[in-house]
Amino acid sequence: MSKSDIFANLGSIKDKDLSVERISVGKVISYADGIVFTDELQDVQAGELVTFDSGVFGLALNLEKNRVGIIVLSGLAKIKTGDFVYRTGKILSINVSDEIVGRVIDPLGQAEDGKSAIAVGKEMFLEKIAPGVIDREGVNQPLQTGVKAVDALIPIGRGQRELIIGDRNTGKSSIALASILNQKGQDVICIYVAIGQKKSTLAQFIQTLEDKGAMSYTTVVSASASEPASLQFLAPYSGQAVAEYFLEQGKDVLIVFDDLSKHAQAYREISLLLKRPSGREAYPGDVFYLHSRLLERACKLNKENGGGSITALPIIETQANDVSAYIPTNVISITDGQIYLETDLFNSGMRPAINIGLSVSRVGSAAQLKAMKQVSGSLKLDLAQFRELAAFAQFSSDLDSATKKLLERGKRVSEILKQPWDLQMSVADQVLMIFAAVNGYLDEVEVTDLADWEIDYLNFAKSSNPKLVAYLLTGAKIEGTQEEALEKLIKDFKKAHPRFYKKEV
Amino acid sequence: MLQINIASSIPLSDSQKKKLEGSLQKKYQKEELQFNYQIKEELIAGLSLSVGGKLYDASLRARLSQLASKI
Repeated sequence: MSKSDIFANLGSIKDKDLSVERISVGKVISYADGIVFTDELQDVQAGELVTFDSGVFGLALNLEKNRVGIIVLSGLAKIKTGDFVYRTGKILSINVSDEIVGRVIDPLGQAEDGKSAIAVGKEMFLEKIAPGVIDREGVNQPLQTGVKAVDALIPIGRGQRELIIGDRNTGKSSIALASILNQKGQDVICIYVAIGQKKSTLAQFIQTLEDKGAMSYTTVVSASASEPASLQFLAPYSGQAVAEYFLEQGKDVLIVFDDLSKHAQAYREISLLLKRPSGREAYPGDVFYLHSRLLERACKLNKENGGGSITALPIIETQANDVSAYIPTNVISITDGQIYLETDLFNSGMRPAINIGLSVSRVGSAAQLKAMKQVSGSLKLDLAQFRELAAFAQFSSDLDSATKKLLERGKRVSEILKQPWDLQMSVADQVLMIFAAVNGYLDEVEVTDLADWEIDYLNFAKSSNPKLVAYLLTGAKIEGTQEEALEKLIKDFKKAHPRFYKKEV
Repeated sequence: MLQINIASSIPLSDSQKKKLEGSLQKKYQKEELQFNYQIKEELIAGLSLSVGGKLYDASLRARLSQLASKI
């Protein structure tokens, strides 16, 4: 607003606008652990933003007969007993504008990265009812993560909620990070919500995003371990509010919640301090609703509503692979599938450490690219047979040739699903590799040589038949001509690189 | 007994207090009143009065914040 506007406005303000009003206030009775109890504060709404004398904000959560329970939205609040608490009449919202992309913000929408404040845009409510059935349509567009194992076997569609679950240090965040990195040039806005994480880990994460040029389409919402539980509790809702801002513009958004176990713990802390009754594992009764109302806001809207989508990748950390604990089972039942990571696989060198058998995607296959669907069908079968036989084959030494062949195939198929976390593979690369594996073209190659084979083969494909690679990039169905071209490509490669084929099987 | 908290930016003189108490007693005729005085420099100027859960803020600070919200 310019100076002249301010003076023009000043003239229009009448004396009666500034009269003494009767307002409801409460007095602070107690303040401990980020929780304030006040007396009276009549007419306050549940979830209303309140302010204290010192200018700090709070959120009224518990409305009781004689007192109101408020969580303070700041760690170092100067609050004394007897301070007044004022209603604001507002429901918690944050300011979002297009400028927010590429920034790090706190759950209240303030810049955390030391750069200028976010330009005034639109007020987005933190709590919002998810779009209804009429406004939605089925998931029909793929969201490529660039991870072979995920895109082939557990495909994710735009608007889907896919849980990433596993113990600590199994590469959960890496899969989310890889998915964000792979959205470069895909016209997808990414939002990474860090809840209760170490600041050093987060700094590293942001550095990686910057180094790989992913910050230009990513917003980070940070509520690190040093923030009070109130802010950790609000962080995912803030992230979702930012996502909805872009959804309204008809854009596709990918949002990662890292992680919801810490979010549930923050909410448990708040609930217990507010003296709400505790249930299983001391979580409050509404911990399911806590996550369901958050994840329900992920959606794919139909054309009339802009056609945008919010794809959610919540992360849950398990203890000792126990997926039947309270929070994991809750979130598993809310989401449209899960990517299950295991320590044993991770330690045996399987990266990403995805347990294919236990991972599912309930809606993504409808959105999977045609070419990928064609090649991954037999991949699933090969892997299933391999798993079944591998357990069995440990007991018997001599196996018939058919079984041996299946085992060898299985070994190679699982081997090609390995992938370094920072390598994003295009659809074409993925289809080329999986086609070779499931059609038995890798059976003659030593398992240990497969990593080198992959690099050489993909380079060879790009230089010798760029037209085919371009076709595969579109993800369109592989017809007879492309299949012949693929077969010819592998045969040519074999002639050009005999070093991989020394031993004949 | 009804508690009435009166905050001002500077200490009130006895005659001011008397005037204030008199007019309040007229308003709350039936009830017994107790007046608690308090100095709050952050009010800048003027008075604020709280009765029960209600606040009547006639301080300069409140005026300024009203003005700020109107612009």
